[in-house]
Amino acid sequence: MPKNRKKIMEEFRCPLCLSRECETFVKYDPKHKDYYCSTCEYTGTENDVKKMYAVITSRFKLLNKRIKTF
Amino acid sequence: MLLNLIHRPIPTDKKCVEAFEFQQDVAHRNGFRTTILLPVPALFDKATIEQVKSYRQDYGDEVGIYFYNLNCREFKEKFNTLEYQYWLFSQADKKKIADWAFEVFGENFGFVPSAVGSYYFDVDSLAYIKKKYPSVECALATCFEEGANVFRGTNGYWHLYSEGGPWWPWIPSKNHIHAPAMNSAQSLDVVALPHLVRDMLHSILHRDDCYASHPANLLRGKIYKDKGLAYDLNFIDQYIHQEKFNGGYSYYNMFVGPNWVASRHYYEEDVKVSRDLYVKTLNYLGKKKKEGSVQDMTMTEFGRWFKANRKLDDVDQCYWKDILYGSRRSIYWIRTNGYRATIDPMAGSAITDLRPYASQVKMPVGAGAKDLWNGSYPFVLNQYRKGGINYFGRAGVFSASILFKDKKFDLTFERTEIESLDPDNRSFSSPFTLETPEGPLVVEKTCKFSGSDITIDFKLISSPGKQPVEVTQYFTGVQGITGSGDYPEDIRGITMEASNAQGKKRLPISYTSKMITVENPTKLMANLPKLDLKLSLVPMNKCDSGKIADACLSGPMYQMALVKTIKPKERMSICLRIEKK
Repeated sequence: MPKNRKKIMEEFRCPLCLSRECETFVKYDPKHKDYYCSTCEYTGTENDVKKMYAVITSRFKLLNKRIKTF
Repeated sequence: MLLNLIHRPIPTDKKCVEAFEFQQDVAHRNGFRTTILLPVPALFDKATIEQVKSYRQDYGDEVGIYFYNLNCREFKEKFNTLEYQYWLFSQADKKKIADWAFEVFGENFGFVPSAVGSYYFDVDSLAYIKKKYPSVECALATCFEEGANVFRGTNGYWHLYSEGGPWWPWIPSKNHIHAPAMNSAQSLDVVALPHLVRDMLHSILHRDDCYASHPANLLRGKIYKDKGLAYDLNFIDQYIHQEKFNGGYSYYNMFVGPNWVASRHYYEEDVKVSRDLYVKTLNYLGKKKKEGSVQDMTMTEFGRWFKANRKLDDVDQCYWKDILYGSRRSIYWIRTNGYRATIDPMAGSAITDLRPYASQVKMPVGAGAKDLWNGSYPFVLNQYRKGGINYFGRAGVFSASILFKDKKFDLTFERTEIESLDPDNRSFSSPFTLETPEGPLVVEKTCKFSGSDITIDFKLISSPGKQPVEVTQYFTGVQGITGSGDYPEDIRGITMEASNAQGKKRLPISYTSKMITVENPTKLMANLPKLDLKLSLVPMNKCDSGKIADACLSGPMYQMALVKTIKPKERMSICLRIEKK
């Protein structure tokens, strides 16, 4: 486990909870080397967490579009 | 657009001390003066006091008191409590805390501040402060629509229920912090500001702390990608655009705690990203200031400007378009001193949320008060909490249906647009083209808003074979306080009346589904004793019939409806009147 693993653990929010706008920090399971949420059923690797974050952001179709007229 | 830039130091955290200096530097580099609201622990920190004094002297920044983050050694010694939200203390304690904070502030600065702030000020606390310290002119008073969604999102941690209030500055009445004063006798004589300005569409559909004038909260909501800042800049531009609907007036404030730019705080990106967003946002506002479209003020300066330029019966309007999801959705808000109404074109331009300020209902909060923690203003219509439109049942809306032969169109399920928005007359129209087996049916709905009245007018533009249609305008009433839960409130006690030239028929709510119909109605009315409120539907031209309907338990909403058959080019016009009982 990286030295800063504990810090990282505390700073990931559960992507499944976050997709419904709820915030729970995931915890690291050293035995299975993945993260789990204590609020919902989510379990996944760091890579999986990041992929699910990208899904959340993909909802925002105008995220990087500057709008000139309202 | 007028801008308040507000900062607060957190002296108990070294990282936050540096972050506060960073925020101040960015503001000053862009030529902004800030208002520094000192939380109670900062009043006991000599270094912070000296630093703030020099900001005041060197840059003309304002300094006031922030009634939040009360926890510090001095506070614990004096009050010995687990409570930490100012507005949730008992009234007696709130007075003691205010006096204590003003005293310590005076000892440090030698004057009484004219700006104060809190996430939420209950009206009695702010009235006490104003009476005892009349120099107070401006208060960061409430959060806009911050309640049930945020409470759920924080897993029941954030005990702030502040929904149903104005989204822009107002002068509160002495009865409820969210209710604007209707006259000078009612006035609290303090200009109230919302804590941040919000995305006026997503603030009702989502937890609105992530969709606000708070760059770090964009990270919290994942509204950020590849160093892009388009949403934040579009957000500012759309607020500037609101001048078009408000006689050249628009308001914006930013209030980001240093903890958001000191270390990771409910976001996964590096803190450098949060700082970058903060810098870019203020740089953009600074650019707009140079171009002349943004003017910064301290809180007290804004309070004085507001009193000199805005009358108690002035109206705020907001026409807001989706700038994030690409839904083409928009929403219209209007706030008079009689009500706040939300009109959703997605729901056939129905009124989907209504807060009856005219009732001036009193709801004290805090330990020992009747309502304990709920600082929201109650609603009488609320589609978003009470019966959504995409559900086979009633929704709490003021809307209409059209009957063409045996084909019925409930306009709440028809998407339309806001057209011909006339901000001076506070009116707009919405077109509907309804497909019938015989061809299209074209109807135009016009909404007009004034003090305590809302007038809705339907005109049949054309119909297949010039045949008539039957228009039913219905008010499906609910009652509740957002944040008190999503379950329906017991509305027994409400009574309805249907009047015509022959007399008056009365129907108390008792969940029987009973309906009463009268011919040629002159008025339909609902009395809501809990809110001390009277809601009336009045035909502006003759209607054929009027209906009042009791609630049922699976549809716990009462209904008033006016019905009229109209031919092409004819109109049906009715008025919803909102009055204190």
